[in-house]
Amino acid sequence: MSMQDDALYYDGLTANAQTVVATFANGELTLSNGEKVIRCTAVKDIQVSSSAKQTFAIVYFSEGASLQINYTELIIAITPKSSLPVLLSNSWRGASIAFIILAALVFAIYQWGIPLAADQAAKGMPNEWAGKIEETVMKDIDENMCKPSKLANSHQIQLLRGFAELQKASAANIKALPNAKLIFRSCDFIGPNAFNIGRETIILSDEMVIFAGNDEAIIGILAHELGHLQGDHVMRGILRYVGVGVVATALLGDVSGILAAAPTLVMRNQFTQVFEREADAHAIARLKAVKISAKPLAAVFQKLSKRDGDGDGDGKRWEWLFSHPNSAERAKLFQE
Amino acid sequence: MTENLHRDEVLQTELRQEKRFHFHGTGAEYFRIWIVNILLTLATIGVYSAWAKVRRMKYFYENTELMGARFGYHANPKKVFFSRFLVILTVSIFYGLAFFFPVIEPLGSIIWVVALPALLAFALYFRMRNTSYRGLRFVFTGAIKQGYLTLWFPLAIAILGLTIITFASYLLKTDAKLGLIMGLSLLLVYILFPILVMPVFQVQWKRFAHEHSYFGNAKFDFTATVKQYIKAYVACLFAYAGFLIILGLCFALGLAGVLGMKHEGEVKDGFTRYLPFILIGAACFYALLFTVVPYIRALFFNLAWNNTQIASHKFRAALPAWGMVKLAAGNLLFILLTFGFFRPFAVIRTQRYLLEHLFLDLDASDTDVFKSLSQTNPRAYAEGALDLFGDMDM
Repeated sequence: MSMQDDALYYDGLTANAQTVVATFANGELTLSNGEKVIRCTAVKDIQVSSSAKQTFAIVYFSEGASLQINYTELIIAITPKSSLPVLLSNSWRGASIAFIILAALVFAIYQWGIPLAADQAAKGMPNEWAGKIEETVMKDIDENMCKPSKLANSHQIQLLRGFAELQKASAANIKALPNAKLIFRSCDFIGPNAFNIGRETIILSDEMVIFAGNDEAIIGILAHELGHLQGDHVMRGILRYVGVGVVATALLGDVSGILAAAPTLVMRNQFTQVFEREADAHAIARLKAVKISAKPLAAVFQKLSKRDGDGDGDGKRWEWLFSHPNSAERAKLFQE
Repeated sequence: MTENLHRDEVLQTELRQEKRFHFHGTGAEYFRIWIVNILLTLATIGVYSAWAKVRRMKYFYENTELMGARFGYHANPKKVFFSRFLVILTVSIFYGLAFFFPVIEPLGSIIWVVALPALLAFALYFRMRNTSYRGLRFVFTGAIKQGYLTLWFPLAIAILGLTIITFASYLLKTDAKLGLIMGLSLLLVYILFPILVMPVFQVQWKRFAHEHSYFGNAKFDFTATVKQYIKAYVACLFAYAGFLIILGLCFALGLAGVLGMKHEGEVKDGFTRYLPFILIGAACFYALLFTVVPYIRALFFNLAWNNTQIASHKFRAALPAWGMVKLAAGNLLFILLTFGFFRPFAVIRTQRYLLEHLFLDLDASDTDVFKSLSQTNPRAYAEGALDLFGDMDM
């Protein structure tokens, strides 16, 4: 069986177009201009590029020559078996399949892939690197955000004593953390806060001590921060953060930054919320081990909740947007 | 004299034939290629992105028609992959080193500037060689050394500026007063840079790139002057300044709204209180961004193409800025409404719009335009080691 069709041939030597008749027979594509045969090429030596609309095709020969031709049976006959990407994108059915697999893949990556990979990487990360990060962050904090603490020395010593007690505590899921350090700073830029910046250092702001107005509550907060340290939440968090960024860029890379930014932020905050809940549970257990009540801590969260007004309605509704769980809910947790 | 000139121009235009570009791509087709590209890129942890790029470029080139013939894209995805891998490797090694030796970090941007002409040249070699039309490949023959010689002035200024930036930020930490003086000179650099250095860089680079680029044996030319580009950059600067002023007003308005509400004691809780501020500010930001950016794009599209010619055939662009603004606004709206899925349709719409406003004024006195064009430069097919650096225009 042979098929033929009119086409435009470019020989790859001049830009001139020649009108030719293309004939396909016995595994060979023959081009002739009515008088003589211009070329005869085995189908295995050509490449075919056709539009999905199937109106038009370009046939490429090895040395730069090409043929522009309508999409007909001839093209179907000489087109080698389509690759997977071409097959998927040639029909809406294929594209739908691709979309469903993509959705499942994205879900699996966020749900399991990134946490698993990041946590493994955190395990493998040497302490020197973590120390290096801590050093850099501490320098940045001292240069740009915080000043030396204005708390009375006696007050600091008292809090350090309580902290040492907490550090030593050990129970079922509670490890003694002898390397943990507590550092006092005055930070009006950050406000009432306590946070850790690596595997060892916890920073407590004077503003937090004043806001809480109760040293037992501060001990509760420090127990929560020790939970972060024991869980290596900073390193795991940094790596998960990077992971989300990498996947979001791969996924939405050619979409403008705006669109990529919103889901990236939401996903990152989902991960930190998980860590916060873990540290809260840890705090309760650690406080129990040193026989300190969690009630003063609950009072602090109530106060926070009142300050931010997230106790009812709106706060709960927007919770998924934030890095920390809802304060009112956390107050309830410590109350129990 | 002027009359004579005018008559000459009329005569010339009479001998010219306007040829249009046609774009045959459709959003529906490209959407399917796009979604499959994303899936495979993600499933292969990014490796497929090189193949995805080649597929995307092929689609756009093969759907672009001029005088009955389609363009072709021939890059080898393996080479695209290796050059991407090389870039990622280099950048990671640099930042890895910078992590342990922070001293070298400010060097990063200077190294980048120094490497820029070479990287631009590599990308151009690769891109031209892998583009075809009517069976002929395009080719860029410029020597890298000459690229550096051409661009010495903007490069020197850029390196000087970066050194001042580094020095000023260092001084600010140790000696605030001296740092302030440096900071002020830095401001000067920031203002001078876009209106002096960028136009010079762009015009000199384009002239170099065009004058060493061929289609077959027909040479490209670039006729724009630095003055024209300075004018365009000043226009951009004004557009941008206007943008910043309106944005500032928006934020002030939003903040006033927030403070007003607090005063009346209507809404107490945190997030809701700042919501109007955030919303008004963000809405203004994007609305303006999507008017200023398309305006600038149209400006430079017209300027570049109206000064490009190949042999005696001239390109002509008449892209309306307002049309681009309307197109971009519509695209943004649909992209937001569809959570990003309109994106491939938007890309196709933009490409069609650009090509609808680009023409080739064919010199009709040159009767056998295509017969006389032939592939003379063997370099057009030579696959060189430089291909490794070919895909720098990510």
